[in-house]
Amino acid sequence: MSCFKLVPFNPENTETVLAWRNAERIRLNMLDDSTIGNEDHASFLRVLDTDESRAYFVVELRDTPVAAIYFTGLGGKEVTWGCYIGSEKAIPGLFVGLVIIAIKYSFSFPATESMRSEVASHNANPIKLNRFLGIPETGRILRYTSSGREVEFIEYRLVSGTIEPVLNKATKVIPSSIRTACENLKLEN
Amino acid sequence: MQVREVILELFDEALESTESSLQCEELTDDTVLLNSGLDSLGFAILVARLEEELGFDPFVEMEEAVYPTTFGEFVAIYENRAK
Repeated sequence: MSCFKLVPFNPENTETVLAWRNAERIRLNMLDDSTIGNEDHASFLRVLDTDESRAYFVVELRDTPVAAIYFTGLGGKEVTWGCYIGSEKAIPGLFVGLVIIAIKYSFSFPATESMRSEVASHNANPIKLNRFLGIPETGRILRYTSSGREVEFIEYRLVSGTIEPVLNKATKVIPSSIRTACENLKLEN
Repeated sequence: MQVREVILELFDEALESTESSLQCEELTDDTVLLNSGLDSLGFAILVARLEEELGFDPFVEMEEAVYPTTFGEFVAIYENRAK
């Protein structure tokens, strides 16, 4: 059965996560565009263990790791999320599926009033997807990456009360395999 | 219409609906899908449209999901299912 599973970052999936995260095509879209080493990642895992406001997951589709998705600000009024697709295969509807997962997870916390993301202005795919789904652009922020590059980030914000049309549109454009996987979303402890 | 022809037609439709364009001279079996010009939204729309036209989503039916890297692999998945 097609299902998505969210597996918390842990020592066992470190190799997979770092292989994805350190790939140039991923780093160039991140605010921290440095290469992350094992020691730094291990420290990060220790911080995550004690910080309930942050959650970082490997997304598995039918038991195969395909992406990472992460959330900060959990438990507060605004949750910020991000993701990157690690798989080099063309998995139809995966990115839209990640947006659906983000919405479902963020708004599963009772305090959440809005879900926010920042997208580098040169990152065409998520910009197009946000526009297509009707997730409003709410700002532009000039930031400096860890390597000193100046990058404009576009801020998107989805407010509770407006999520249904976005979810409906997203569900319409994904194939059955991803729709089923989203319906069978599991969270691994 | 042959499956390949349906895919090619809907591929063009997906490119147009997402304001994208082919990033190679022509689509061949060796074209890497992620470099074809069809972005992730377009690819989702393509497969959803193919499901409407052909009546099946091969990716939901697979016992073990095998995802394509090239256009040729993508077509083969649909052609094998259509047999």
